[in-house]
Amino acid sequence: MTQEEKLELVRFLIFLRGKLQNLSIELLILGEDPSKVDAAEKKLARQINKLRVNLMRSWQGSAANLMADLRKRNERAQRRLRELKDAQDRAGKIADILTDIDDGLSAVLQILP
Amino acid sequence: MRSLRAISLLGSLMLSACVSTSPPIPPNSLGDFRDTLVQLNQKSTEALTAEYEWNYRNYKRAVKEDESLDPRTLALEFCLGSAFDAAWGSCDVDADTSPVFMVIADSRRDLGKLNQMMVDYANFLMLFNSANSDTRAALEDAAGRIGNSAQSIAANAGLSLNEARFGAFAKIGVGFVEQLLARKQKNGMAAVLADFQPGVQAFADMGSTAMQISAAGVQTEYQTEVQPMKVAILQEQDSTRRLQLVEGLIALNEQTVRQLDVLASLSAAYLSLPGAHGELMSALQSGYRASLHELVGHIEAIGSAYQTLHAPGTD
Repeated sequence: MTQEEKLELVRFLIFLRGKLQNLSIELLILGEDPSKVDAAEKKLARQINKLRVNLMRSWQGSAANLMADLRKRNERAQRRLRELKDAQDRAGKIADILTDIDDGLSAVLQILP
Repeated sequence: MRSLRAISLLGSLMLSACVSTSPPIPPNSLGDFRDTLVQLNQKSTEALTAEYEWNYRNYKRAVKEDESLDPRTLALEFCLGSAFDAAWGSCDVDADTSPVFMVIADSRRDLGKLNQMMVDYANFLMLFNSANSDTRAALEDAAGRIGNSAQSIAANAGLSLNEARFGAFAKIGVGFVEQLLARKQKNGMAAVLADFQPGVQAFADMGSTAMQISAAGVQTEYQTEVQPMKVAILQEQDSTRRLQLVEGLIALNEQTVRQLDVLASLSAAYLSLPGAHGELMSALQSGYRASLHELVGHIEAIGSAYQTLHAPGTD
């Protein structure tokens, strides 16, 4: 795994974290409880910091498949996010988004040493 | 008398032709190259200091709010492998609890080593360019130092110091000076510089990558700090207080963008190092001073921004 691939992964996770932070604000505006999203965001932040440390210490792993998987999950989560405002079953939609986030984080965890 | 002087002059010319087959690089070009590397060293390590300070500040905030903090993760453990090894939290690599700012400090030290080696290399070139029997000991001393540094930097980056990737940096050392002098005599100074070109490229890439990693760090610190501000703005009922919060967020944005701009310029400066090194070779052919305009331009672009660069919120 090259340094460029590692950097691409970290940048993508930073991008996702920004989306999660905005989702939390969106839920606050809609009067929904953002605590589960906040918890996922904090978990993601910890992973980003772990990856930063690993990047600085030249870690090894395989990120190519992970990146493709994360992109797919992100597209799905973004689609659900767009549907959130008008959804009848808003709690169900939020639960789906959180499942996507959890699955993505698990995939990231698998490549960490 | 006149013919004797002519023979003596011819002798001098023949002697100088034996020492070097081409004119030396205009000395000012090498001096400019070295001076720019000194500035790059100073500015890039300062950039990592700004990232260090910001992470340390966010770390202290997190510790203050963390009721489940395990103090064992803060203390050093002394490892069995070496008399001098100490690890933050645990010697077990998988259980390493080093805070990010400590790793940034290590990274800054490694980058400083890389920068210093490039400065040493520029000094070596200056000396080598005008090499004579008086400078031999100094050349060997400098070559030994560069060789040790190159070895240590490559090892820290998890790379093997091979010739394909690092060129003559893979071989430089006390005993290599003799070969370099022979190469200069036979093929000229440009050939010697060309031997080092792959290494200049490899080290420049490492420097640029360090700046990109720091940029990811800056973005992460920003995200950690901005989210509570966004929530506070949303929930604040008092308009005066809300305006203050908005102003604080805008100031944070400005500092962050400035810091990212500086890191982008530093990354570009590293990436222009191989080109500048190539310009030294061209200067050797033409006899004109190398302009090094791209490298110098990136360093100058950082100049004024650096006066005000520090971790947001540290005013």
